[in-house]
This record gives sequence, C-alpha cells and structure tokens, in this order.
Amino acid sequence: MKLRTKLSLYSTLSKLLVLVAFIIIVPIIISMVSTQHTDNRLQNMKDKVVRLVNKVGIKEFLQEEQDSIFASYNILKEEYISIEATEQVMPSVHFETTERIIEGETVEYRVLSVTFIHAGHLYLLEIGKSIAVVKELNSVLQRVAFFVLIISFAITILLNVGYSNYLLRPFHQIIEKKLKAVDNPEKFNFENIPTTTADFVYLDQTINEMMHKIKDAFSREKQFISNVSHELMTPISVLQTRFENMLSEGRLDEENTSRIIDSLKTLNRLKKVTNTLLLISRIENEQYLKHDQVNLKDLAVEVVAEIEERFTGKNITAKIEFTDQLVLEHCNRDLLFTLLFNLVNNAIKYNVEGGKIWIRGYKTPENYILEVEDTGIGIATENIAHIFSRFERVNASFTDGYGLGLPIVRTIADFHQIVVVVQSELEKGSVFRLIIKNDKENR
Amino acid sequence: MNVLIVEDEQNLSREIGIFLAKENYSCDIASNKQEASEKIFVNNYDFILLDLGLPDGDGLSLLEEAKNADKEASFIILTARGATNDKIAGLNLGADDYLAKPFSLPELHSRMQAITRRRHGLKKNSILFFGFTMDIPNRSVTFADKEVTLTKKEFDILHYLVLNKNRVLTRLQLTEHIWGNILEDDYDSNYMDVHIKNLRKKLSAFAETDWLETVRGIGYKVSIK
Repeated sequence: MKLRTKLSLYSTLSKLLVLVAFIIIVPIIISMVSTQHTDNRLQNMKDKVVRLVNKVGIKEFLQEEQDSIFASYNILKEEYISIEATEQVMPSVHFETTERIIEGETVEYRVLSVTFIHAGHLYLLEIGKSIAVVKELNSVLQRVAFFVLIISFAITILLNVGYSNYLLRPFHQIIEKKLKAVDNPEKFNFENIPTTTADFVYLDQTINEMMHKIKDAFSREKQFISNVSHELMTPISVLQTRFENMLSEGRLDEENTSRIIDSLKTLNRLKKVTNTLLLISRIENEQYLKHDQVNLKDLAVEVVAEIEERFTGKNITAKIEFTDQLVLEHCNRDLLFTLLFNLVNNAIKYNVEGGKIWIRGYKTPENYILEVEDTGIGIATENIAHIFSRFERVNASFTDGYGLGLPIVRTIADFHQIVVVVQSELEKGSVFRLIIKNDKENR
Repeated sequence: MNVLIVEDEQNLSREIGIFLAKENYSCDIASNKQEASEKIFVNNYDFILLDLGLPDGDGLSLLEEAKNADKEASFIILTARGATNDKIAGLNLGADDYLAKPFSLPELHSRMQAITRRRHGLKKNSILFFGFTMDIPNRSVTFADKEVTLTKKEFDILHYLVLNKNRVLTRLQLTEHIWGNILEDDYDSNYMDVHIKNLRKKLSAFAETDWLETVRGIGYKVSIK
C-alpha cells in the first residue's frame, strides 16, 4: 500500500472514530442539557405558583365542593399544573419523567412534584411540561450536529489527502528524477528537490552524495577504458604495420611468409578480443547513445544483405518472416545491428550445409519477439547457461565455442533492456529469442 | 605528396613512413605536439596523420590550430582511444577521415586516395584497367559500355584491389576492409575466396582475368604494369 494511501486511511479512520463517538455522545449531552433546562424552568414556575398561591390564596385554585384537586392545562397540553391537598410530606423537590393520559392522549411529561404548606394545610403541587417538544428539538439538534460533522469530516479528509499529496511530492520527485536516473550518472541532475521537509532534504542529499561517488567511479572507468584501449591498441598497431610491411616488401621466402600471415591472424584475434572487451566495457559504461529509431524488419533485411554471401557459401536459405512490425525507439542502431549480425552469423556458422534460418518478428500479448532459428548443430542443455559468459569455454568438445559473439549479444540486449532466451536441441537446431517489452515501443 | 605523421609511438610512425615512402609520398615525422605544431606552420603538407593521444597534449587542439591557421592539409585522425566522442569531435573540427588503431596500411592508403580524389573534384572519378572502367561515384564497372553486374561487396573488393594495385592483399586485409566495422570473430573464414571466385566468373565473361592473381598462402593481387 502506498504511504499516501496509508496516511489518508489512518486519518480517515481516526476521524471516523471521533465522529462515531460524537454521534453517540451528542444526544446524551443534548438530552442532559435540555432536561436540566426544563427542570430549571419547572423550578421557576413552581416558585411563581407558590408565590401566586401565597398572594391570592388557595381558594382561587381549590373549591370546597370539588374533590380538592386543581388541574390546569393549556390548550396544546404542553404544560399543566395541579394542586391537591395531601397528608404526605415530600422531603424535597422531586423530578421525574412520566406518561400521563390526558383526554385520551398519552403525553410524556417532565414533572416536578413538591409539597408545600399553605394556611396550615399541606398541598402537593405538580407542574408538568411536555417533553415532546424537547424531544423534537433534541432530534433536530442531533440531525444538525450530524450533518455539520459529516461535512466537516469530508472537508478535513479532502484537505488531508491534498496535504499529504503535497507533503509527499518531493518524495516522488526524488524517486522519479533521481533514483530512476541512476542508469546514467553522466547526466545526473544534482539540483536539490525543493522541499522544506527535513527528512526529504536529508534523503535528497544522501542520494546526491551516493551519485557523486557513482559518477566518479564511472568516469574513472571511462578513463581506464580509454587508457587500456590506447595501451593495448598502439602496440598491436605497431606489430600489424610492421608485419604488413614485411609482407609487402616480398623479400621473405614462402615459409617465413606463412609465418608472418599466421602472426597477423593471431594479432587479429588479439585485436578482436580486445575490441570486444572494450566494446562491452563501453556499453556497460553507458558510452553509447540511444537516440535512434529502428524498424526491426528493415534491420533484419539489412543484416541478411550484409552477409548474404555467407548464406550462399553454405547453401543456407534464410527466411525473414515478420507478422508484426516494430519500430524500436530510443535505441542504438549500430549496436542492434551488431547484435542481430552476431545472432545470424552464429546461425550460419553453426548450421549444416543446406540448412535453414528463420528470422521472425511477432507480437505476443505482453511482448514483441524477435527470434533467429537455425537448423544447426544445437547446444547441449547443460551448456546453454554458459554460452553468454565472457570467454568461457565449457568443455573440450565445445572447442569452437560460441566465441565472442554471444557475450556481445547479451551486453547489447541488456543495454536495451531486452531479454535473450535460448532454446536448443542437439543436432536439431537453436532458437535465440529476443523479448522486447511492449512499452519499449513508446518509450 | 607530403605527409606529416604525428605519432608518439616511434615504431609505428616509422612503419607507416616506410609504407608511404614506397607509395611515393615524402614523409615527415613528429612525435609530440610541439614538434608537430612547428612543422605544420613551417611546411605545407598534403596529409597530416594525427594521433590524438600525444604526450604533451591533445591532438584535437592541434587540428583546431591548423584549421584556424588556414592550413590546407587533409587530416586523418589515427587513434587507439576509440571513444565515439573523439570521432565526432574530430570530424566536427574538420578532419577528413578517422581510422581506429590498429588499422591496416592498405586501408590507410585507400582512405588517402579517396580524400585526394575528393579534393581534386570529379576529374579522376573512374579507373581504367584492362578494358574495364570502374566508375567510383556510381559504383559500377563497365566493359565496352556493357555493365558488369557486381554485388556491393564484389565491387568493394575489386575497388580495394585496384586501388592497391601491384600489392598483395591478404584475406585478412580484404575481410577487414569489407566487414571492418562489424565486430565479430569469424576472421578465419574463406568467404573471401568465394567472393573472388564469383568476381572472376563475372569478369571473365567479358575478358581475361589473369591480372587478378591468387598469391598462394597470402591472398590476392591486381597486377597493373
């Protein structure tokens, strides 16, 4: 789960918790407050009634001929007052919530009961106030509170997500602009990512320090390659020109001539090995640009044209079968040419007289496949793992080896994020399959 | 023609000198930047073969100096550093060609001839030999106005042999000229023999081809007296 999602989720959950608690507590508080409020009013009303009784006398309320109860309701039965004579003394003012049936209607009242003495008699005074109103008010208040809470909840969540996005933006920038650019230390941008978050500043600085080290190592390697190249190629150059001069002077007898020719061949082998090592190092040192667009079918046609004579020399027929086209973007044409050239050349070299070669290009749901299949001698299963290793001779019977070609193929493929898969059967042939990720097309 | 070889490895400059002297060039040798700089400004050269890695500085700056001083010499950069950047920088500064060390001497010679032809316009754009006419810009060979159909490679081989006439070219040198830019290790092949065989077959339909000699154990030679 993303950090951003986690943060948002956490804040949402914690808010939800608070909200639920609020929704449970608010009605309780509201009802407590409103009860308190009603009780206060009832108390006030009681004082008023007692004062009134003292002023006008009890006679106004209780008539002798009636059953000594006074009861008064207002029209909507929101309030009532009753006074009756009693024998029992109530120790203090008593509040309760009860239901009263008045004119066939059940109404819930908050009732204050108290006994008071007037003119030597004990009376019970009850004042009731309908709490239907209070309840209604309560539910209205609850609803309002609920909506306010929901809205503020939604707003804070939005703010939260937005803020955490904003807060984490430097983090994503560090990944996109810095860590993903690690492949190319030469062009690394050391500019700091703008942020005020100390942690990100620290991360950014640490990555920059690391990249400085990588960049140094890279340029040292580049220098080293250049020096090695100079140190090795110059003496080879001297020997080659000297041998060539010896040959062209024509003063050598036949035996010495063939010795010189052999020396030149050996020298050429040394040159190829050195060049291959240097090529691989340069590719790994990212010294090649990937600025070309290559149509793989055109490339295949070109490679075949380049070594056509080798096909005819061995009576091999080559078929180029592309069911789908692919234009590879951001690649190095020369290197891809070398890659395919080596694959096709191997397919010829290890093929049988009159054999066949297929170069195919097709799409699968996820990838684009470029494959070179031959009807050659094949590779033993246990050797497949070793054929790409640099200059590794698997065993004596594998004397001719796949030589320098395949390490070059592997390095160039890696450079272009292409996966190479080999399928082979002894005496039947091999398939070298280049798996190119579909999104390479648009990259 | 005057050639200056700027190369700190004296064994190499000597061998190049021996080779070019035989081709009737007169050669001067400079083994460091300062010496080269002096010679370039005192003398007029047709060719300057320039090694980039000189002990007292970068060969590229020498090239820049000479170009700024309006020197007319053609520059061929010879370098073992092999970095693509060097190549681009050199050609941008006005070098005429670029050869990566180690190179073969006939290759150097054919590059120099190509530059000479370019410099003197299209005056000498075809070569005549034994009744055949080789049209270099059009890459075609005709015999009595009839075209000899050659493949790209066959033309290149014949052209290279004709340019280096009377010299034996080894299979290796020919292979390197034809496939030199491709890094592969199939150096011991006899594909060159197949090419030559086809070439002979095509040419002999028009005239005798005994001038295209096989030199046993070494390679091939075009003898033009």
